[in-house]
Amino acid sequence: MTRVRSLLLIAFSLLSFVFLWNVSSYFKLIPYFPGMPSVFRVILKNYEFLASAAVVTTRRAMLGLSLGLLAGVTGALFLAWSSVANAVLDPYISLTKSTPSMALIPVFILWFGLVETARIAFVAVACFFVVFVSAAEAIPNVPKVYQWSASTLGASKGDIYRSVVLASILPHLFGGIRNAATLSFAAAVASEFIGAQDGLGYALIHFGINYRLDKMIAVVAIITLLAAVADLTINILRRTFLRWAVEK
Amino acid sequence: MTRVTSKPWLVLIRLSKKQRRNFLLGALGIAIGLGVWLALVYFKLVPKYALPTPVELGKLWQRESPRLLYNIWLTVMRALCGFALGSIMALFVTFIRSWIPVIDTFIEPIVQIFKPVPPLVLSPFMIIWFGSNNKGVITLAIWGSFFLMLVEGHEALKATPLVYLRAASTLGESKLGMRLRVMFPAAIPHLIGAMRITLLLGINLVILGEFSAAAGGIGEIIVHGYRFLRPDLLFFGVLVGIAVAVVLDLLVRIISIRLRRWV
Repeated sequence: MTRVRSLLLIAFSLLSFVFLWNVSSYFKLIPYFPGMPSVFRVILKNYEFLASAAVVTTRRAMLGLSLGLLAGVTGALFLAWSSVANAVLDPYISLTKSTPSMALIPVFILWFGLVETARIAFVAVACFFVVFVSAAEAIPNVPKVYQWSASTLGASKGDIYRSVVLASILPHLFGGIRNAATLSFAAAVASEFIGAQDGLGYALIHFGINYRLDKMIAVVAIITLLAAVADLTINILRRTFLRWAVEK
Repeated sequence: MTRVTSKPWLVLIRLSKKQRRNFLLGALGIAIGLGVWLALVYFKLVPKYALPTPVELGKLWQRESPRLLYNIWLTVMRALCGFALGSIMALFVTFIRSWIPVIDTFIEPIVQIFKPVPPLVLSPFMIIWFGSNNKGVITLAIWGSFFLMLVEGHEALKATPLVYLRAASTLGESKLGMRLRVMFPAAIPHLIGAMRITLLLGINLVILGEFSAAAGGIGEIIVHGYRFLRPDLLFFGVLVGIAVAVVLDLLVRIISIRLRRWV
């Protein structure tokens, strides 16, 4: 397929997306579904409210993400260092691997109350799970041959840890960090579904009660944008710090 | 490798020294976790509403097991329906995409628009469109599974080694056979990994949907526990949620052993 033809196809695809969206709202094919113009109008009109809600949610997501990353990366480094810790924590690692983290939102609200701490702690734990599990899965896959040859060549345990073990798990760890960054926004919003008074999740529920799908779609667009920006940032960081792993 | 014997306890002896050490350390880890839990509840280090005692959990099960079992069944059924329908649809679309390049180019931008939308935040939409019932929750799970599987399936098929394709076409494989006998089998390990992630996402979506939908299920057990300050209900729900995820993941893995026998 030539370049021009595929560009035309992409343009056609985007146009038909816009067309289908607006047709389905105009002929009311989907209940309460708004047209694109009214979504844009809502964003312009409620600019201040949406921006302040986005700031609240971003603050929760970023605080939770940084706490979760701190704990997750520290835990991962510790896990890679000590095989005893690895064996002791093994049952818990297999459990966190398949914990539906959304089930934990009410637990945190029960423990901390309907306060900021509960939501930040939940986001932190959800991000921690993702990072920790990605590291725990990478550790057994560190090539034993590298470790053996390094120790044959006279490397101490610290040397092997730094130059073999860490180097092999870092790419996986960054994959986990990237997933955690996108998850942090979804987790923050989901935690705001229960008993929040501000933030994008509250806005979504609040608009939902009034069947204002135009406002809800605006909120979802903002969440998607924020998550995409977080994903992009982590990806750029990975490209700068892990060039050797990316260009493999 | 350990052999299966008629005396399963012999497995412990047959393990290598390192395996036995890891097994015992894992048991130690579980014992520590249980000990911390019991100490927290029985020495009253945490308030009564924050953690249930094992006795409370047992009593809850004794009192209300039929209702609890029904709710667990609801969640499992919804998660499996959403997962199965979503991934089958996604694999079908993936197949069509690999067959006709025009459709592939046409679909790609639309997938790119929907892919970054976190499905977790869409649960209020599903309740508005489908109501607080099975339909709403299952549609949410279908949506999430579909897009995750669509992206992963496309990547998996694209990663088929070029050597396989060339060898197959040299040997006169047809277009359909190329997909059925070369591309999909080669993608199976990747697809199984994707299925495990998708299943967990499906359970997550179902539980989150049940929080607000009030249509039964594990999510409703958890929300009741939180609303009426019943730690036994709340933690029973969380533990069962984890157990369901573990069991379904195990099932996928058991099925996958058969699927990837050739690898």
